[in-house]
Amino acid sequence: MEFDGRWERDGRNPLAAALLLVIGAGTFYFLAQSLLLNGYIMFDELLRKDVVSSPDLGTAMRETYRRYRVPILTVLALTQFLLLFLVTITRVRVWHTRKAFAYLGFTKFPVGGILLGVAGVLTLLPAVEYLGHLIYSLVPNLRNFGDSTSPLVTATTPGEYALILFAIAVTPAICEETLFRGYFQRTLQRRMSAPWHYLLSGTLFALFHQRVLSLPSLILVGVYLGFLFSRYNSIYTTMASHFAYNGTLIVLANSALRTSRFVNADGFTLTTVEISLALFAVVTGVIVATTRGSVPSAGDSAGASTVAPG
Amino acid sequence: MHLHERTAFIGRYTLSDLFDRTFKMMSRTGRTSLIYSLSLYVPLAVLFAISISRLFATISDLAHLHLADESARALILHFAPATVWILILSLLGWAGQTFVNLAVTHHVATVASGSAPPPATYALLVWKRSFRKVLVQQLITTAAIIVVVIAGGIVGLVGVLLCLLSKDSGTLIAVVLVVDYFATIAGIGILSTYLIFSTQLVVFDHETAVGGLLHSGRIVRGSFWRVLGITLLISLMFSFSINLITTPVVTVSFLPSLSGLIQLAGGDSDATAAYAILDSLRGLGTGIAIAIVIQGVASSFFLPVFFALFCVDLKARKGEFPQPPQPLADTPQPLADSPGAGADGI
Repeated sequence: MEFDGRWERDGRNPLAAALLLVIGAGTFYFLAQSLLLNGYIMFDELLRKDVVSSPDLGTAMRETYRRYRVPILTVLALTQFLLLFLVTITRVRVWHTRKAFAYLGFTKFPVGGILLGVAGVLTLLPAVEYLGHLIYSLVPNLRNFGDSTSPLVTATTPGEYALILFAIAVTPAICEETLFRGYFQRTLQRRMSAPWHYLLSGTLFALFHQRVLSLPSLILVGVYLGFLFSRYNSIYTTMASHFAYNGTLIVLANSALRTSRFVNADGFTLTTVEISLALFAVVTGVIVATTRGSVPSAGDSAGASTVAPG
Repeated sequence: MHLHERTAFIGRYTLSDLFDRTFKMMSRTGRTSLIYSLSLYVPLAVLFAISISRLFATISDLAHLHLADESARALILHFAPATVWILILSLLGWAGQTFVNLAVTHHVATVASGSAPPPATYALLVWKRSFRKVLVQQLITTAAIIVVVIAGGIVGLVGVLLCLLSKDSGTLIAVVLVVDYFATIAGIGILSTYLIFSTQLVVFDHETAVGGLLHSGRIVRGSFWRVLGITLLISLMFSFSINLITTPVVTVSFLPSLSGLIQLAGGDSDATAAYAILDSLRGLGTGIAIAIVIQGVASSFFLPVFFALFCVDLKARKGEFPQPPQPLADTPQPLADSPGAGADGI
C-alpha cells in the first residue's frame, strides 16, 4: 500500500495521528450527543410542562429513556455515522492514503473467518454477561440503576425493533469497528506487535463506553474483537461479530426466557458459562490454527507498504 | 541557552505538526515529567486523601453524636482543621504544579536549543531563573481576572438598577444578567488568551514577570483566534481523555456511598443507613488521590510540552528567531528527525 497522505509525506509518527483522531472524534462525539439530547429533552419538557420525576433515581432514568427512546436512538446513530465513521474515512484519506477503505480493512471478505468470529463472540457472551452480573451483585442497590437503560433495547412494535437493531447493533458494528479496529488498531499495528495493539485498542474501546461497572466485560469483548482483526486483517470479521453480539443482547432483552438449567432470573447459569467458555476455547484455537503464518508483523500489517517521498 | 533555527523543534507549525512534534518531544522529556510529577503528586495525593477522610470523619462524628444542634461557632471549630489543611494542600499543589511545569518547559527549551542536561539540573534552573517570576506572573494574572469579574459585577449591578426603572423589569433584568455573564466570561477568555505564553517566555527569553506578560500579548496579537481555537480544542480533548481514565477510578471508590444514597433516595432506609453512607464517604479520598496522581502525571507529560512548542510556533511566526549561522565543517548537523527527514522520534 502506498502511504501518500499528508501525515506520511511529512515524516510524522502515525501513532500520534491515531491518538489525535480517536480522542478528537470521541470528544466531539460525546459533546454533540450531550448537547443535542440534553437540549432536546430540556426543550421538550419545557413545552410539555411535564418533567420526568420519581423519588427513585433508577425509575426516573428508566422513564426518561422510555419517553425519549426514538430521539436517543436517532441521535446515537446519526452522531456515530457523522463523527466516527465519516470523520475516520476522510482523515485516513487526507493523512495516510487515498486507498482509505483498503487501509481500514474493507478489501478482504473471509467467509470462514466471519463465521468463526461470530461463533467466538457468541460463545464468549454468556461469560461476559455472567461477569457483569457478578459485579452488580457486589453493589445490589445499583442493579435497578444499571437496568435503567433497558427501555432503549426493549421494543413494543416491529418498527421499534427495527430502529433498535439499526441503532444498537448495525450502527456500532459499522462505525465503532471502523474507528477502533479499522483505523486505531490498524495504525497501532504499524509500530506495535501483538498482543499490545489489540490490548490497547480493546481497552480504549471499553473506556469509550463510559460504563464503569461493565468495564471488565467490555474490555473482554474489545480485546476479542481486536484479536480477530489482528488475525484476519478484515474489518468484516469484527463488524459481523460486533453485530452478532449486540444483536443477540437485543433479542435476549426482548425474549421471555423460561428458567432452565441454562438460564435463570439473573441470566446465564454457571453451567452455561462453563460450556460456552469451553466452546470459546475451541473456536479461538481453530482461529489461531487456521491463521497461523498469515498474521502480519508490526510495520507491514497490510502487506508491503511504501511511504511516498516528501 | 538560546533557541535558534538549527534544531528540528524550531519553526512554524500546522496543528498536526504541533501535535506530532509534541509527541516527539515527549519521548525526550518524559523522564523529567515522570520524576518531577511523581515526586510532587504522590505525597500530595496521600495527604489529600487523609484530609478528605478526616473531613468526612468529622461530618460522620457530628451526625453520630447529634452535634448538629451546636452553635455555629462550635461547628466551625470542628471543621476548621480539615478545611484549613485542604486549603494549604491546594496552595502547595498549585505551587508544585507550577514548579513541575517549569521544569518540563526548561527541558523543552534545552532540547530545542540542541542540548539535554540530566533531569536533576532543571530543579536548579527553575529555582534560580523562573519560579519566583512565574509565581508573580500568576498573582498578577489572577488579580487581573478578579478585576474583570468585579467590573462585570458592577456593570451588571448598574444594568439591573437601570432596568428597575422600566415597566417590564423582570425580563430586562434576566437579559442584562445573561449578557453581562457572557461578556464577563468573554473578558476572562480574552485576557487569558493574551497572557497564555507568559510562563514559556520567562524560560525561553529570560523575561521578567511583567516582561513575559507583555511579550505574550505581543506574540498572540494577530493570531488570537488561532491561539484561542487550538487552546480550547486541546483543553477539551485533554480533559476528555483524562476523564476516560479517572472517572472509573473515582466512581469505584464512590460505589459504596452511591449504593447507599440510591437506597436512601428510594425512601427504603433509616438513620442507621444514613450514618453508614457518611462513614463510607471516607473511602472517597483514595479514589480522588489516585485521580490526582493520574491527572497530574498525564498533564505534566503533555501540557507543558504542547504549550512550549505552541509558543515556539508563534515566536517563529513573528520572526523572533535569529537566522541560523552558516554551517561550518566542524559544527554539529541538524537533528536526524528534522521535518521532511522521514524519521520518527517515538
